[in-house]
Amino acid sequence: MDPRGAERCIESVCKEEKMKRALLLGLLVAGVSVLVEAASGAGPSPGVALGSPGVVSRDGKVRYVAMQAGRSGTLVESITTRGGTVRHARFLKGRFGVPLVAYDRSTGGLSHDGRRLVVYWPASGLGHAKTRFVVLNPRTLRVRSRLTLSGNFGFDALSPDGSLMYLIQLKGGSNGSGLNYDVRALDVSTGHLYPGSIVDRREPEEKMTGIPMTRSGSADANWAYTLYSRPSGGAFVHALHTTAREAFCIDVPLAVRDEQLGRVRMRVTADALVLRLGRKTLATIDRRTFEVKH
Amino acid sequence: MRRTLALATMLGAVWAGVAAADGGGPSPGPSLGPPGVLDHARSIRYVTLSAGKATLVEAVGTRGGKILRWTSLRGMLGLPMVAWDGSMGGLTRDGTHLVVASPFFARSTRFALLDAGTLKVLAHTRLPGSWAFDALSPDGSTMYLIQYLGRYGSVSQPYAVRALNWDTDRLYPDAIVDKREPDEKMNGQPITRAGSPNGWAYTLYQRLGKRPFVHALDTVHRRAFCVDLPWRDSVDWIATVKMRVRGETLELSRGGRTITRMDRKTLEVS
Repeated sequence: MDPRGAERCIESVCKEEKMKRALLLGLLVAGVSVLVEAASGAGPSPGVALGSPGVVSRDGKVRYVAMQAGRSGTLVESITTRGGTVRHARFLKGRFGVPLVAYDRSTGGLSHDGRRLVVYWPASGLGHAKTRFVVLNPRTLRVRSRLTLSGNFGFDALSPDGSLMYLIQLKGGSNGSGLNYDVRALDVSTGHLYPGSIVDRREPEEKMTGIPMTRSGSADANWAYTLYSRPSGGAFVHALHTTAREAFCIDVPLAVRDEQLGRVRMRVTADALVLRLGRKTLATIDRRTFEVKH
Repeated sequence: MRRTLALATMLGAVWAGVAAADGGGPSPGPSLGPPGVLDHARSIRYVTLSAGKATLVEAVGTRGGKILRWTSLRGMLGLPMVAWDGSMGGLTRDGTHLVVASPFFARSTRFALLDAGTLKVLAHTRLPGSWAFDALSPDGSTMYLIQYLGRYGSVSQPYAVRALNWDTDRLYPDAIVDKREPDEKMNGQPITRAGSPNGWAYTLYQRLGKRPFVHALDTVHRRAFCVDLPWRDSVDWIATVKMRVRGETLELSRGGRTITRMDRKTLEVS
């Protein structure tokens, strides 16, 4: 796939404006829930979710949630969506949550084939921070592996078989706002990051910024589409090919106010990615050419 | 959780062995993990889960499996199982109050009364010795308990049914006995449980060497009656018996067929 006409979508804005916008968007779209705790706050990674809704299996039969247990423990549970029976529960030392992948509370962490479930806890700060991940077998909730990365990472996506994990690596940026970041790929089996970052190869020098508003994936989980809000205004779709370790940024001019961006939803069809606000279709993106139609 | 369940199972097995030996197994004890207890509308399932040194009490929606509310309590606490067929207790019929209990093999036994709507602890109590939950009054103000009178697990385990006032955190004096036969000692294993809307808890008990009986506990007025059943050689099939309250009758059925009826007013068996 070689999309044409897709534009890189980066602009520099002052720190204050970035943070205000990030916080405003975070508040607008994340909402407040007693049961959901978002760690790591506004920024390119929404953090993690504790409690419901967690993440649901592809067949819709099992819900996975992470619950805070005591001061420094986590209970990961698998619960049947029909009947509400707890099938398995696994206590983990340390705090972990189900990854949030967008500020509309879209969650991730469960591989398409149902063989890997990732929970993690975001690091605080950027200095000597460490981010901890636990990979579990969703059927038994037994721990398959534990990964610790130096630095501040947020979960982004999994490849369909869960062998590749995509991460948002926060970078300080010249203004220290933390809104600059790289998309990185990690080999789950070895726990090693692939060298370099996942960039749009047509414009490799451009820095990543933006706030993930909503997420939608292709039926085969090969593509993860994320609608980002740019700090300076406007939106773009980050199209991540989770198997090929490729990404493309598609500039999407949307005729909506900034505060409405949090209510835009995406739907993936066989050929297109459709962006809607309520019943109104705002834009349609050709999944092959990335051409945007209004 | 698995270790806890395994422990509970092991203890259960040990207790079942003891009970089978002496004919007296008054309570299966608290249960951690699934299935938990369903509210009367079957819309919310309450479950307790061991989480390190704490217990999570969760209210889970049966449609969708979402955790609606939860709380973390220190120590190991479970939802009371009240009969060996897995009948669960601890939740008032109107779904407003929930009791969790600690295992009864320690020096003391803990109970906590929770507001089921918020899962906030309304009251808690710690009783010296081994105790087990038996029933709750409809408004949750009175908790009925099995008091182990000897060392837990001893042969010919004697026990008594007691009542605790949650408002005062005090036990009512004296045991709840069938006043028609006040000297008859309680023994037997609870096979299954059925409740009535007006606060009666009916428990089918099996006794070694004796005929089974129904323990009819009036949880509103703190009184109980033991009603002998005319069943011979029921030891092989009593575990399959189901009970159901139908109007003024308690129906006991086996394989879908009603085998015995008990008039709930006169306690006559037919």
